[in-house]
Amino acid sequence: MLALASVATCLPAKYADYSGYAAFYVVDVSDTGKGVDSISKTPAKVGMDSGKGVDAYSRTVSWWRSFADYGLCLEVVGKGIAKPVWDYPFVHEYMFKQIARAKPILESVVALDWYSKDVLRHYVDVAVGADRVTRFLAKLLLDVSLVLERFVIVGLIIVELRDWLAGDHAPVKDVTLCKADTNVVVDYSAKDVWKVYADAVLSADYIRLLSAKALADACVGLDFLVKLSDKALKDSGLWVDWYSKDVWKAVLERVANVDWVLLPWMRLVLLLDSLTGEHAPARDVGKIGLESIVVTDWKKIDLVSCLMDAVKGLDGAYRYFPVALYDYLFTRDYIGFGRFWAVKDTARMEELVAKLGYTLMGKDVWRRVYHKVWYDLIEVDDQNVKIVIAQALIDAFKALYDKLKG
Amino acid sequence: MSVKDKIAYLESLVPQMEVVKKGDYVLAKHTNVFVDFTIAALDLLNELYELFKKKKGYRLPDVEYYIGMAESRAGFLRKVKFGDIIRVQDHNLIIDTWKPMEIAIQIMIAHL
Repeated sequence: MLALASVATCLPAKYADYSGYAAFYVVDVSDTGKGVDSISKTPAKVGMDSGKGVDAYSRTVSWWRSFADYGLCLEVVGKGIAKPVWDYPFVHEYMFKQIARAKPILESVVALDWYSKDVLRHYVDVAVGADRVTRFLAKLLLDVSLVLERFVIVGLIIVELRDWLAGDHAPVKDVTLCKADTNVVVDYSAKDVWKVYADAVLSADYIRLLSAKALADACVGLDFLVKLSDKALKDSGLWVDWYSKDVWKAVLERVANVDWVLLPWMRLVLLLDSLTGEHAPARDVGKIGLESIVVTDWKKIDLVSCLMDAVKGLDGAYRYFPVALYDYLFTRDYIGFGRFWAVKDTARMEELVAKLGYTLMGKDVWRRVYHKVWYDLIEVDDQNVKIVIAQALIDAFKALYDKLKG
Repeated sequence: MSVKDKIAYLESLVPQMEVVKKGDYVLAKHTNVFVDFTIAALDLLNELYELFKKKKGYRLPDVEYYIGMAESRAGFLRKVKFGDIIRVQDHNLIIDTWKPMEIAIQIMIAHL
């Protein structure tokens, strides 16, 4: 059912059956995931909140995608390509400070553009001219530089957002200015900056209510990341550790700000308390939940029901957390094992988000995560359902084309 | 290529998508054909949106948003070759790109 470390080869990398592993999570996690699906089918208000979830998802993907690729950068640095690459973030730090002042965004971006083109060309020239850097490393340098460029762009957005949040209402004019400036650089940023920036600003209020602390911490981590990349990455790892330890506490705090999810979530908390005798599920909630499922069918049904209710209410926060965590875990692929023990501690949460599903052309699909034991898990169904969806997409294209012609 | 040609090209890719079962080997072409499909589908979606604008005379910011999102994600797609590790992101990026495409199609159809 599952493929272990799937290798595109005829070497013996077969789909293996890890049914035990699957069975362990399928009751809790997949049912929870289905709860997410059900949200998309619920009209009106929940639909709007799902939209916010999409915003958070988009923003999170952008941020963590950069972060993940930054992990690749560190791997390159760790191999000793070193100084030019190290210098590069330091220059970006300077530019970052300029950018953070908001007003000279356009100039900074122009400088960034110059920098990316000129320095990259320089790197390539150096790489070609000097035997000590192979052609392969030159390509890596290019990739790394491009990634850093994107990283700075996304980082700019987050720092701007942090400043906006910190400054309460006053920075509204700055936001307007930033929007105007950002409009100018839309072409440069290949449509991405403006969209992400707009998403971030539009959803800022939402975030402020739900996860301001987490966002602020992320921004602090970002600052470190720009100033001193390796240390910052560790700090970010610690942040994730904090996140994993306190996520349920944080979720509960967020819930307190959202009246309409308070009751179902409290049902879950009370149920968990009754099952464990402990106050607040904290970081063991996943384990407790799984254990409680085993206790009795009644508890199983009630817990899953409560979880689904909670998921409905926590649409935004729910999606924000697992996607972010997933993408962070995904970076371990590049970072390698053993570097951040704090991340290892998140294994329990990793299991909780082992399956994150949604519907695509009416079919259930699941995003997969890199697993520390099972590596890259891809099920047979992942391949097969995509074929069905591909055909459905073609049919949808045909329907759209027919309507356009008609 | 015309729209019909592009649709025909997409249809020609579907038979190349192999249905697998437990125990089958994971081949590079399993991933690559979906990458080809996604890129071609995105191109077709852009062309259909141009047709939409021409016909209706107005833009749909939501559609542009989702097309942009799909393009952004498609930028991370990669083709694999013999010996490459097929990673979870190879799977995730494909479905994550298809999702905004699906939404964009639905929005356009709703306006027609």
